[in-house]
Amino acid sequence: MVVRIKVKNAETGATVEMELEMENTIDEVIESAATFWSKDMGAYVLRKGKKVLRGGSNLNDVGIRADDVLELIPDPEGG
Amino acid sequence: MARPKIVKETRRPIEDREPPTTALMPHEWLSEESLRSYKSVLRSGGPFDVYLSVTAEEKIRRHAVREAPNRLEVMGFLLGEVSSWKGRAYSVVRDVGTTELKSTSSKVRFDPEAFPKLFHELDSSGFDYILVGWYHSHPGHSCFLSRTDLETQRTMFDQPYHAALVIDPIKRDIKTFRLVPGGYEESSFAVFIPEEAAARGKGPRTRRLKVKPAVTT
Repeated sequence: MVVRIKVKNAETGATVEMELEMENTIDEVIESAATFWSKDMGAYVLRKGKKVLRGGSNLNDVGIRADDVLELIPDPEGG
Repeated sequence: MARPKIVKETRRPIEDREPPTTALMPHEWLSEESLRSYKSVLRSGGPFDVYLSVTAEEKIRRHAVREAPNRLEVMGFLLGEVSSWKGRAYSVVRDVGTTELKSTSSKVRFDPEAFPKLFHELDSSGFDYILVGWYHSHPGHSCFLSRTDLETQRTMFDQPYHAALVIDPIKRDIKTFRLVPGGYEESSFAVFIPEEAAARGKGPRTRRLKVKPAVTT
């Protein structure tokens, strides 16, 4: 089943609408959004509310539903 | 199984809006050179590159000072909005967000187990924020962008309005930086008291900050 979700870029406020299947993984969502915005996917985490969505879990596993809004958050390092 | 497909992007417009004009002041930790730059921007009528609310300033400074005795770096996000004035984009930092850190005297990251607290802080800001930059401290090392900092800036905060705020709580120095072709440069910033806070009589908070009064021209 194809669903549509939104992913917000926290750094710019831009939002993309993404079509995907419930079997797609969180890594694939991050990769798609990061690639679209020319970002390094390894430098970001994805959140739904206060929950971090990680790695190889698929959308079903983490309870993503159609029309959910996720947010791409940078994971910076200072030195 | 198909890969996720992006079907539409909606960008947030940068609206023309007059920057904060009430109770602008330089940070009391500005170096003489940075203070000259502050006065120059003020004389020109601005806008500054960054407007830092007293709320955000206080949280950043207290965070850095708290860990200064341990010589530990601190870090967080600058939450705000972007507007333009006189054809120039500027950012207004209304609040900050941080969480527990993995830090040493020369490195800092968010604790991977502490993202939920960070997300709680982001949601608690109460407005539709943009991460207009990030702050971190250099306890005793002065204010500049290290190679690691520059990589973070290039990777994550590459828009013209994105700021890297660096604070040294031991040498009492603070600067903001932005990317330019081939490297980075110091940008201008002013501390301000939001109109709504001023109207509520937030005078005592301002006095606790010990900031200098606005420079008159």
